[in-house]
Amino acid sequence: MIKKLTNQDLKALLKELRQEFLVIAPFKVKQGRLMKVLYQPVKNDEQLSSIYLTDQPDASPKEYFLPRDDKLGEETAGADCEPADWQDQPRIFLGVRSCDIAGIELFDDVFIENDYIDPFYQQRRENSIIIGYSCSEKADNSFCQEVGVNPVDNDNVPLMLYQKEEGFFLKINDEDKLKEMGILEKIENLADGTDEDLEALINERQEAFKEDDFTIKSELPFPEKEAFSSVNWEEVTASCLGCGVCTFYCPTCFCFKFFWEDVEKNRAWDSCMFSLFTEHASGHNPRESQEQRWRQRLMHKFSYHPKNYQGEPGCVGCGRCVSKCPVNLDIRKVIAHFENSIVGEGVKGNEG
Amino acid sequence: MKVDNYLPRKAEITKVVQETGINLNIKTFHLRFADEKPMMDFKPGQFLMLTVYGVGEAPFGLACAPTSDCNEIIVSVKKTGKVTAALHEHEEGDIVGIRGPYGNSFPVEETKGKDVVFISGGIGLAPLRSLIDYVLHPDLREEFGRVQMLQAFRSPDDMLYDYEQQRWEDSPDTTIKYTIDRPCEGWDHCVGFPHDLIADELECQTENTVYYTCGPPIMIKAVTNELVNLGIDPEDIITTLEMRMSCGLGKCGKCNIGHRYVCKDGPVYSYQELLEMPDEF
Repeated sequence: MIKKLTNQDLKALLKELRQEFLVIAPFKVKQGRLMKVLYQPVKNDEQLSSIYLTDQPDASPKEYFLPRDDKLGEETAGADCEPADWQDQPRIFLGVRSCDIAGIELFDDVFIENDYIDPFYQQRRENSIIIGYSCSEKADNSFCQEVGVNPVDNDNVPLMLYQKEEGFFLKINDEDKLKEMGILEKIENLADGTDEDLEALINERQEAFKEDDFTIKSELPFPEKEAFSSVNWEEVTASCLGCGVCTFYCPTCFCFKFFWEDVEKNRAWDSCMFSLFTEHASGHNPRESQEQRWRQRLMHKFSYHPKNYQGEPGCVGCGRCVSKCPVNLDIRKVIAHFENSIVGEGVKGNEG
Repeated sequence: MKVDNYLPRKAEITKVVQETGINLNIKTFHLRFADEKPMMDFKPGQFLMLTVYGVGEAPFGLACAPTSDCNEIIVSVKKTGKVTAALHEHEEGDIVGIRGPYGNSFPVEETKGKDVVFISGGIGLAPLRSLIDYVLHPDLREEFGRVQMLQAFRSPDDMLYDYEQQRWEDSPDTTIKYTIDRPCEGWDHCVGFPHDLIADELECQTENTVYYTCGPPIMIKAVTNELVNLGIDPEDIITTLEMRMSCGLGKCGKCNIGHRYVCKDGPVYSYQELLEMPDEF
C-alpha cells in the first residue's frame, strides 16, 4: 500500500503518533562549534517543524539500541533481576536510511541469536518501529551499494518514506506489525499514491546512484590466512592515531566492555582500535601494534562477520568512518590495498 | 534460547588455600553458591566469569571436576591485575559473583577408553585439574586407560595442589613426574623444561592416547613441537587458551583469533586447530 502525504500531513501524523510513541528523529543541532545532524527525541509538537531529513545524519541511531553507557543493574542483585533503567514507552524512529537499517539488522543477528539473547537489546529493539527514508543523493564517501545496501528503497522496515519535490510517498511494508502497534489506523485515511509514481521516483533515483569509482572485487568472506601472511597492513594504516572515532560512528560496531560504579554494572562501547582492548593483565597483548588492530577492524567486517553470519557483510558502506577520521584514513583504500596484496597470491576471496 | 543479563550469582568463599610460597601469590578459592538454586552444570575445560563486587570481573578456568560428589567450585588464581589482586584480599565467608560456565570443553567422550597424558607448566595445571580429577575419580577411573603426568614448576616453592598429589599418585595405573627449572637441594625429581623431558620421562604412544597440555604460551609451543616430533598426531594434542574477555558469550569482540571467539569456540583447541588459526594469541 502506498500513501501520498503533504508536508502538513506528515506533521499531523507525527503529532498523532506522539500521543503514544516516543518519536525519535534527526535534528540539526549545535555540538561545540559544529552543526551536526543527530537523532533526538521529539520533545514537543513545535519541534516537528525542525526535523531535518535532507542530509545523512552524522551518527546512526545505534546508541538507542546499544547505549554508549548502559546501566545493566546492581551486580549483587543476581542473574534474575530485570534491567535497571528501562522505559517501556514504544518508540518510533523517523528517517532512518538503508545503511543504518542494515546496521540495526546486523545487531539483530548478533544480539538475538539462536543460542543467546541479550535481554537489554531485545527489549529496546522489540519496542521500536522504524520508518525508513529513501536517499535522494549519495552521502559523502558512502559506498553502500558495494556491500549490498540499496540506498533508495527498502522493504525490511514496516514503513518507508520517500521525499518528493512536494511532500512524500509512504510505503507500507508490514501491515500486520503496524496494525499490532495501532499505527495502521492512523495511516489508512491518507490519500493513496500509485505504484507507478513511486516506481518512477525510485528508478530516477537509482540512476543517480549508478556511478561509483570504488568497487569491492573480492567475494566475502575475505580470505583469513592471507590477511595474516600476505598483507603489509602498516603500509596503508601507519597514519592511524588509534582514536577509535571510526568505530564509535560505525553503525555496525558493537564491541563493548563493562565498567563498574561501586556495585552497579554498566556497559559501554569499546573499540578494537584501542591497545587495552585485548591486553591481558599479564601485559601480554595479542594485538600490540596499531596495524594489527586495523587488520582486526577490516577483517571483522569483511571476513569474520560474513564467515560467522551466512556471508552477511559487517559493513554497511555509510562512509562515516572515512568522513570522521582525523587523518583521512580511508577504508576504501585499505580494502583496495588488501585486494592488491592477495591478488599476487592467486586468491579470489572466500576460503569457505 | 538462553538469556543472560551479564549479572552474576552470589557465591560464598568456603575455603582459601595459599598454594605457593607467599611471595609467588597463587591462591585456590573454593566457592559455593549462596542461593538455594542447584549448582551449575559444567564440563571439564570450561571457564567462568568471576566478579569481585565493585572492582570487576575476569575469566578463570574451572579447577574442579563435575563428578557426582562435586558440590563446590574451585578456581586457582594468580595475583596479576586489578581483579585478581582484589580477590586475593578475600577470605573465607566473603561473597563474590559467578556467571557461566562458558566455552567448549575438553573432549572427554573422545578420550574415554584411551590413555591420557597431562603435561602442565605452572598454573597451567589448574584448568587441567578439571579433567585430572574427572579421569581419576574412583567412579570413572576404569573408563580411561593409563594416566601419565608431567608437571613442571619453576621451583619446589611454586608447586600447586601438593595436598592432592598423593591421592592422584595412588590412583590405579597412574604415574606423575615432577620437574623444576633448576637443581635445588633436597629435590629428588626431574630438573629441566618439560619439552626436554617428554621423550625420556613419558612413554608416548602414537596410538590410542590423548595429550593434554597447558602452561605459558612458550611452553605450550615447545611441548607441542616435541610431541609432533615424537610422531603424535596434532589432533591428539589438546590445549586451552587464555584471552582478555568481557562477556564470555561471543559478543564483546575481545577474544577473537581470526573469525573464532575463544570464549565460545574455545578455550579448548586441538593442536591441529591451532595450526589452522592465525598467530594472534
